[in-house]
Amino acid sequence: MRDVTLLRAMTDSTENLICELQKLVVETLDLEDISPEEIGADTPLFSDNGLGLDSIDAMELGVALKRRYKITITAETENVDQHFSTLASLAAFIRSQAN
Amino acid sequence: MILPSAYFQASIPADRAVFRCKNDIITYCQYRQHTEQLAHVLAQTKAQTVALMTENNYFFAVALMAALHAGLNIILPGNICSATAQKLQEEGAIVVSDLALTGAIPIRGHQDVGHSLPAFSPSSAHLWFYTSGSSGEPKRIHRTFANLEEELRLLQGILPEGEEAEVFCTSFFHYAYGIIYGLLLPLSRGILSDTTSYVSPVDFLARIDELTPPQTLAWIVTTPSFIRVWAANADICKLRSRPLRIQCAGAPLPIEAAAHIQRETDATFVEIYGSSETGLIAHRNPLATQEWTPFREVTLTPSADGGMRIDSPCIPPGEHAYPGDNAQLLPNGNFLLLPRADNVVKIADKRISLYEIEQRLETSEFVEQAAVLKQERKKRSILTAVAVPTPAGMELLRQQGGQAYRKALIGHLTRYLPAVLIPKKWRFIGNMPTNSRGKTDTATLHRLFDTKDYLPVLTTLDATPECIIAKALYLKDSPWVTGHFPEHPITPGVLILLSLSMLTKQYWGAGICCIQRIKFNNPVVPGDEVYLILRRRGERLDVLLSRTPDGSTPACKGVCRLAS
Repeated sequence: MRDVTLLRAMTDSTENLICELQKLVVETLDLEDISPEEIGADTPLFSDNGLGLDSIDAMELGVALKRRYKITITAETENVDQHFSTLASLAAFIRSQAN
Repeated sequence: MILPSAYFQASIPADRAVFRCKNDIITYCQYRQHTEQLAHVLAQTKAQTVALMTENNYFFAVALMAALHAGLNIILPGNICSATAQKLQEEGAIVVSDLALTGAIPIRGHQDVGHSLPAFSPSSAHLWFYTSGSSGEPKRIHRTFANLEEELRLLQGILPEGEEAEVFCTSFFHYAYGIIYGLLLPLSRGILSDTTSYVSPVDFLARIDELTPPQTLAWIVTTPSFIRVWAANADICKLRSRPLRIQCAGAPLPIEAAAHIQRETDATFVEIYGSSETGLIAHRNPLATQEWTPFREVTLTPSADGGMRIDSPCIPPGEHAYPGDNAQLLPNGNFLLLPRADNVVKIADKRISLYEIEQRLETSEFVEQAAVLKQERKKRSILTAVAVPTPAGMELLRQQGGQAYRKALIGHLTRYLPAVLIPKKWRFIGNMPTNSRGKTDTATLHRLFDTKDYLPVLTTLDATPECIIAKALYLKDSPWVTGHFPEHPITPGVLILLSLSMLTKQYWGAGICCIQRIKFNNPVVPGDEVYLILRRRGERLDVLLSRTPDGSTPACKGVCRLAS
């Protein structure tokens, strides 16, 4: 049986899912100096020109995604770098897990 | 050289000026009399241990010599609060103080009984100091008075003889640094020592200029934090025409600030390497060389962990000292200091010296000084950073706000460090907080991270027990400001009060608990710099925000109450 949160993520609009992810990133990583809405859908998460997150942040984010959407995303996941590159790609990955 | 243990047996003229207390001179005769009176009282107590808890440096000079001549073991606590006094009394010590502490023996006001002051054995006189705790919990350190006299003997070896000089020491005498340089060194050389305590580095310069004859060497014993403020203060030029020696210890000397002072005044610099635990280790002229020259009779041995072991006559026989720094020993017997061994942290399995990150940050055109801390964020260790901006950095903050400044610093660090070693949280302040010994006040730095959002950038210009004057830059992109009248942004009163409270907590240990009245005359626009002028009368706090430092262009005025 699919998780309710994941089902909602599937049926909700991409815009709403990204909005949820914005909050998740800021809360999980306790980011200061940036509000959720300031993280654009295409803001690079791990580049110095974007949020500048590091590998430990990626792990923490992976755990938070698993808790929230019951999806598993680890270093072994195929194209993991690409999935984590922006919120838009992360949203696409979450939706793909529901298919 | 007069050994302090035999000071009162030396033949010294009765009218020799020994100490300056504010504008008064204390002669040898008066100092001896005050010491005799207190030593008699202490000898009558039959106690074995005395804790000296003084606020006034001259009273400390009296209390120390009286306790030594009364044959007591001496504790020099890390603070002078009543709870500490009570604890020490419960442990069997008597307390001597110039404060109204319950059960304490006062320093002045005793009968003149003609008590003699025979020489005492310095090797049997034990003292226990407490370190500042700048890198953790304060440590208790044992030294004998003979060890302190050894420090004097080593120092004599590097100083010219027979100078006409007056010593101005910015450290309180009850710390090891203050005892040696503010008290014992002037006594041993028969020169005047100023006992006035200086909270404000700016007042200090004016006083030297006013009190010391122009031909007399003004011998300033100080710490890097004072040197930074002097370098930024145009009044240093006042000391141009007089002989000036600046002796510095306690933390790495800011070389650019020292070079600026030397250009303006022709001062000579002596930098001392050592600590309460180790005593003197080495010295150098910081503007001429990076190499440290060990004092004669001090031996350095590399230890297995890359640090060094010190053997010296300045520490009790049979004991060794470990200063916690790594050193590169050179073939000529000198050494170079490397980052502190205990300053290395492990983040995400990577070892890094916090000092190294600070050094990297300080190479940025936007950073004057930096401190990097290891903190816990949820269950993870992260690095955080506090930066003091250069004028260019301050301009960036003023024009573009905190995010742009932070990004510039992260961009700078990214050239040298992997992402996991880039500080995750940032705070910006106008000057690095220091404790009474001039060392970076790490506890205050950690407290900056208690509040989540961008705080105003505060630069303290003056802080005394009665008055604080600071400059505040309210950032445009502070979450306190954004959304507050977006078309015509103004700094909200709550943020102004928060900045006032930060200052009162830092300097007076009390926040603001109540606003009695406050009036905003004209709005402070984010990006503006304003002067905060706080005057304290008991618990009453008069507050003035002004666009000029003299308070003549008020933006806000009020009366608040300080928490007791």
